[in-house]
Amino acid sequence: MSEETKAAEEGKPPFFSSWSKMYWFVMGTLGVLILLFYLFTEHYS
Amino acid sequence: MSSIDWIVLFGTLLSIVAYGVWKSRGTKNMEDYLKGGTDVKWYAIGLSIMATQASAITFLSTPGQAYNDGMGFIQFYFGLPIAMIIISVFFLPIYYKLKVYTAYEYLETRFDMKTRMLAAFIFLIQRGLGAGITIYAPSIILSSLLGWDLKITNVLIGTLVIVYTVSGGTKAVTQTQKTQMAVMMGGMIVAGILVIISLPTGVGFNDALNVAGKMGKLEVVDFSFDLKNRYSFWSGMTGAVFLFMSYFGTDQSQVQRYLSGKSLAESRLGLMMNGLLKVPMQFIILFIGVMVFVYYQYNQPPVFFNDTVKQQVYDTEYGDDFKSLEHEYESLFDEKLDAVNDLNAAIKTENESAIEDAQVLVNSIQDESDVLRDEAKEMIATAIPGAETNDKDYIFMTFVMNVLPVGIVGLLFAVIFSAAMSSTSSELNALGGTTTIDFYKRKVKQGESDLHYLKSSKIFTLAWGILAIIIASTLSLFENLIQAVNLIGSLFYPTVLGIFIVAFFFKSIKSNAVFIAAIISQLLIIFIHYLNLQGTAGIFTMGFLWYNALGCAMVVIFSFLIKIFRDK
Repeated sequence: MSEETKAAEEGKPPFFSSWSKMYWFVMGTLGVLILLFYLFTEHYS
Repeated sequence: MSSIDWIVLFGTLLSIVAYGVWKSRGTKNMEDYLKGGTDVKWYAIGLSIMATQASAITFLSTPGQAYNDGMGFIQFYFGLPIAMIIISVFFLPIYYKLKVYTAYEYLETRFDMKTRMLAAFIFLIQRGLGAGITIYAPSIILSSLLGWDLKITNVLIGTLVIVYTVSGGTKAVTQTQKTQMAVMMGGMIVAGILVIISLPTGVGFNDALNVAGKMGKLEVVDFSFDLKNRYSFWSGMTGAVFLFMSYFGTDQSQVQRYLSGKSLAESRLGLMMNGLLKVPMQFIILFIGVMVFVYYQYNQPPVFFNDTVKQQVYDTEYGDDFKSLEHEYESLFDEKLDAVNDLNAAIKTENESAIEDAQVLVNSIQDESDVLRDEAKEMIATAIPGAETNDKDYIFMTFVMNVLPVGIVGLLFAVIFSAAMSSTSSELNALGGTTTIDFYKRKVKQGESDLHYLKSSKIFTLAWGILAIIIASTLSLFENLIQAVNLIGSLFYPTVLGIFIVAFFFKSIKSNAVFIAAIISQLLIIFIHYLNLQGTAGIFTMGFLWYNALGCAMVVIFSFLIKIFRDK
């Protein structure tokens, strides 16, 4: 295995094929949390 | 506290210290001492980042904040995942490429030595003060709740941290933070379960949520836009992003955590772990505060939660007046209890008009109770001039001591101690490292052996530890400890972040322009804060979280203006 291939493989996140997909997952989780908080606020206020 | 609680508390703390010293016993060079041997896995980095940020202040102030103001504070953390992504994309690869020990080393590569020194100097000032506060926060609670001397408590906490941080450096800090996070989260989850179990028979979890909701404690998200509103969706998604970018991207106490990673990917994953877990973690802590509030809707709360101060008032000429105020507060509680029961009954029958009537009555009695609490605070201020009248940070531990069972009380005190130790250790580790790398090695003694710098790092870490204890011993309580930390951060971080933003994104700007812009911006932010305190800030009237965006923008804009002026 070449050094470049190894470096590229080491650089990948688990579960996702690229870091941008990982970042979208983090942003999506934040969005879902905010939505749940909004529904929680609306339901109990 | 019972002897079992003392055993749990000191058993936990001494085990953590011993574990840290033992796990880092092979530390014998600067790479090990300041970067933990660069072999730390992503989950350990993530835990270390979270443990560094989660100080005792988090566990003392946050439930109290929820008790008084509800859960809106969670919005402050909405910007954190965004900041994690920005740091992961832009900051981290450059730090890795340059193989730096501190974030400020990069600034010399990009600009010059004086800009590096300025950023490192600002870090030392604000983080030095921050270290004092992180020791002081649990000390004041412990000394008050347990009747200990404040200075001795400061020395005890500071010494425990100094022992393993000085001996093992980053490796000891990272290893101990794994166990500290386990204690902190385990303790809080147990506390959360027990507070719900402690509710009276017949009051279920959903009843508790209904009562909290109708009393305005479950307003988690506020989309209204108002610069004066300290915590809203918009301040969280803008001002707080800048604060977190500064804190996680340029504050060496955090940068040092993820620079210890085995690879760039491990460090990035550590940041993502923080981005995913921080908001839920804060939600849990705030939620526990709300449940404590509900508990005190069914059980008589004290009119003032700091019992030590209350006892002092009894011994003054205001003692009888204070007791009479307490009696009035207790009578009002009985009235409120009936109204809360009526509210719950109305909710169960789904009778909208009855719900509305009961809600109005409960909130009106709650307002009267709050007025009495304010009167009690005013009486304390008159009876004992200079006494601390803010009891927000005592609410959670008062509940713990009075309600939770033997053993758990000791565990919850261990949580507070662990939190204080975890953040203080990162701070001392970073302060010692920055002093060595950015000042001592760069300016005072160049070309010495690795062993020499290792010994110097240990000496500087020890010195910062002693200074932090001295600062802790001279502080007085701010409006709220967590806000004090955020305020200090908001005053100093924007300038440093502005320097880094210019460094990363505006390649045409050179060192002198950014250096002058940074100094002007720092002075202006302090001046604007002064005007806000005086109430004369005019269009600059704003909550302090906005200083982060404003200060950072000022550095960038002034850098451009100076560049244009110099180019002419």
